[in-house]
Amino acid sequence: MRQKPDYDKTPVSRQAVWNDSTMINHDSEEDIGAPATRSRAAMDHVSSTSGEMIPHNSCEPTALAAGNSGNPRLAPSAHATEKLFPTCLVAVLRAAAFLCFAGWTWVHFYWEGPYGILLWQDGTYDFANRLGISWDEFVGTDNDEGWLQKWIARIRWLFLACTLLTVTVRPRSYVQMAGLVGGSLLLCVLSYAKYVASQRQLPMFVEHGGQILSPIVLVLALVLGPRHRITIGTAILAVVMTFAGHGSYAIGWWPTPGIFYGMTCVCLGVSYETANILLRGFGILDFAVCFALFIPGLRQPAAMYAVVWGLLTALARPVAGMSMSLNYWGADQFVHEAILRAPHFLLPLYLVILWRPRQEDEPAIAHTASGTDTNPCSTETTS
Amino acid sequence: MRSLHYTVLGCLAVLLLGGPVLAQQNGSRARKRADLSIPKVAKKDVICFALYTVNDHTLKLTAQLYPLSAGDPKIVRLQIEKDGEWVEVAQTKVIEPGWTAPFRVKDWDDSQQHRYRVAHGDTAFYEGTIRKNPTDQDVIIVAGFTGNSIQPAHGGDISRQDLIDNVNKVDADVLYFSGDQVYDHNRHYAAWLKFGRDFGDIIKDRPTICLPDDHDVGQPNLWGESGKISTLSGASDGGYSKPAVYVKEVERAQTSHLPDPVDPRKVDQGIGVYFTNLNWGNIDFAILEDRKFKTGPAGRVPKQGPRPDHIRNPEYDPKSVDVEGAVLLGDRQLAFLDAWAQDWHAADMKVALSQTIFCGGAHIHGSANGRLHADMDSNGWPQTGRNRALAALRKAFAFHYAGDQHLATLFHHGIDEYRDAVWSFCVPSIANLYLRWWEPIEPGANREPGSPEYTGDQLDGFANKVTNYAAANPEKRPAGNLLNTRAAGFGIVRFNTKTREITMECWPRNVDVTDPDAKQYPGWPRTISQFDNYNPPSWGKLGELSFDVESPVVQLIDADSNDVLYTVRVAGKSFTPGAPKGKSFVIKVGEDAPQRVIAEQAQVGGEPIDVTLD
Repeated sequence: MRQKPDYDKTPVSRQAVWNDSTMINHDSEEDIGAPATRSRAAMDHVSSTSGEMIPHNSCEPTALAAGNSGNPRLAPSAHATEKLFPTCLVAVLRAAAFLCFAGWTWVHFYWEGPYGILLWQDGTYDFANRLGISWDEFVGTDNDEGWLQKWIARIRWLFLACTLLTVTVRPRSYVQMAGLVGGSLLLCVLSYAKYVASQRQLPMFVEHGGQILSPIVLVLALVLGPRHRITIGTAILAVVMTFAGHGSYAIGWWPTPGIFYGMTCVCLGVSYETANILLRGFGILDFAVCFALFIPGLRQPAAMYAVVWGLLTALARPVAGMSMSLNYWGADQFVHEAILRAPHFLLPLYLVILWRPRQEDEPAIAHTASGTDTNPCSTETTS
Repeated sequence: MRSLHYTVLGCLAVLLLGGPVLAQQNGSRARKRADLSIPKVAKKDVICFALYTVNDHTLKLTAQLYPLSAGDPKIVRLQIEKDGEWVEVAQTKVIEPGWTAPFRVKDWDDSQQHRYRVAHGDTAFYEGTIRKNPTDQDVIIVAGFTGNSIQPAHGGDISRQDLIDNVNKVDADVLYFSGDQVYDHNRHYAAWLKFGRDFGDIIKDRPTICLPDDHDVGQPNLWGESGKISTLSGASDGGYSKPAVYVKEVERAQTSHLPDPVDPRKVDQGIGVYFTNLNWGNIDFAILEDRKFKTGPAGRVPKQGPRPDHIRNPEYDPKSVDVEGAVLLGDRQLAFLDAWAQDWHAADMKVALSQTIFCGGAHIHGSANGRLHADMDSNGWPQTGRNRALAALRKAFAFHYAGDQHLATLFHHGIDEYRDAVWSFCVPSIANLYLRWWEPIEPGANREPGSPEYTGDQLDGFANKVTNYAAANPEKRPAGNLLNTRAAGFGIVRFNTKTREITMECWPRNVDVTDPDAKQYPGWPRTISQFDNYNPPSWGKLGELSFDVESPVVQLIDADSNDVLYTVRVAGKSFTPGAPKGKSFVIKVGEDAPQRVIAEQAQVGGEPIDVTLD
């Protein structure tokens, strides 16, 4: 529970920025610096020493920390933008993890987590029995008296704690980070329970990848930096899992859930036949996004599509289900379904921001970079 | 730095893979799944099974086929044997999806038994027997089943041969599958074929009634809400989760052989209805289809538990969930019941068949705990709708035969007072996927001597009045988790149209019901009178009616409100009507319909009346 994040500071030098706050390895200052002088081609390379991924169209942020706050080639407005860039990235990741945990916290407090299918088993009881818990203690005799009910109820507090941690965690808050990693494990178990409940349909687990990994991406962004290749790679993995899972259902490789048809028909007012065609098309696009995220020329528009589609599919739950005729307009039934899916559009948004096109100073930077440095590694020695 | 990368990646791998591995319990057993592959069959075996009913001289038979090849003929023929020759009586086109071939034959002679065969092409034939209408039998036997799980984890893969053998031994006249014939939520067709392979040998030779329930249409619970689209996980917002095309395929496969619906107007999404009646052996069965119009609770009732349909708070006000506008049976169904209750042509007894019972029939759900105060998936909710349904049924002295609960129970229902409405028998599951217990916290009142504490008068979780007489509770921790330790089994009900007695039997699996040493679940068998289905304790008796004809139809009408109190075909030449004290009634009598008024101000304690009808 401590100190200011690096990205809140005005960068004085590359090292000053990240050394002070991100805990990134100090010998790999490339995380913010040199790309200002990199060629466009070089931007697509990855630093072999640090792992920092510098996308070709993400060179602006590198100018920020490179000690280039006084770079004459950057307009003042660009400087201001660049100062906010890492802050913005981490804020997006923070929001993704926060909303995901907040949604699930709501589920655990207001409704109930989906653990029943895992816990009401002889194997679970046998495990408890080995801990000296009797059958009666295990199952209880009345409402919420059993060992299981008590522990299921306690999980809600873990989710609440994780929600708070997403707000309070800072780059050197290792204990809090460990808590978030634990929260990710909770999401993993939760997703596994849903996977089992779905009669072990693999996409059911896979599609939760975005939610499971959202706290991990946040932790990585704080530890390694929001543009570190592991951070970016994990975010891409999370998006790919979400879209591949959804796509597997939509395209029909696994039975398309009825709710997919229902939401499509209700939201768009189309027939089943049309919904079927649309879902197959959306499924193909889901996989197209997964592949396009790895293609430099396509990844930015693919991520933008993922933002829009992730947002629409999250909102589809309340849009399709809420009604003026229901108590609270049905908000307590449906809104959390959209909130906990926030990583589905915020993780792609993180990628969109990361890969956003150059601004007005781009030509100057590109010109300089192309003429001076095509090796990202070499730039690191300049600091 | 590289080591850091590997460490982080390793952690990621552990996170993604470790959770599932750690969470995996009983992995090997759980992974043993039911085989739902569709077998490749020879052309001669392409007809899997056939279901039929005969009502009002109309035969409806649905043949279920395995998938046909593109070049195969799509026409299927129905032939009956006459003088040693097969004579075609109908042909039909196979309907996709689902490969069903529904036949409808009018002017069917139900006074004779007929051998039939369904024919496809020149090589595929499937034979069975269309029974004659057993109007000459004193006792009609209806075997009841529900919950046909095929998962090995709880014995669903164990052979059904014991059920086949027992149905044949008692020579059941009617088979009644009250729901969840199929548990697979995505492959109804494959599972339905398996159902046919398992039960086809008894289905082909006797009328069979199937009511598709929630799992049949691919969702965990079902509040049909007139066919709306459900978009909430768990479907408690009401409606159907699966596309209408799937629901229609299910209903076509399971119900297209039922008598024509009495009011065939479709509901939303073009989904059909099948509520109707079947008259067989002088017993008039109302097929209720109680899920089709029922309102979903999510967002309509105050939240009282961890799910929109579950009430965990024992302090809640039951009236708070009986919200205005919540429907159980639709107006069309209630109108049908009103007419059905007054129509006693060719009927000595009335039986209502529905997916589930009209009360919250269990306290503990899922495992040995999970106590629920109330479950809105049961027909105990909405209470007003429940009372309307029971009020309609008791006007016909109808016995209620149902399933769904995964727990066999015997209830005498009450509306205004205990035991003032019909009896219900909920049969046990064929293989029990989900355990439930009837285990009230307080002992029931007015229990029979020596009966368990869970019997007697109780309020269910919705404050509905119920009197329990038996519950086949599973073991608290089912040893081996297979069939009978999970209270699996089936029901047999014997309707005696002469004595008007109804005998309910509740059998475990893998017993010989003809063996004198075979034991039923505790509390069974039980025999009641048809007239117990509307005999409130507070009532008195009018003067005895004596007739010059056998078993006429008697109707009582409230002289003030003009509401029909009940209509019934009496047994024999005398009848002493029961009625509320302090009220006056019009009594109407007729041989087959109550057409003649014989008293206009009859009251409890009145004089006997001799009635001449001939």
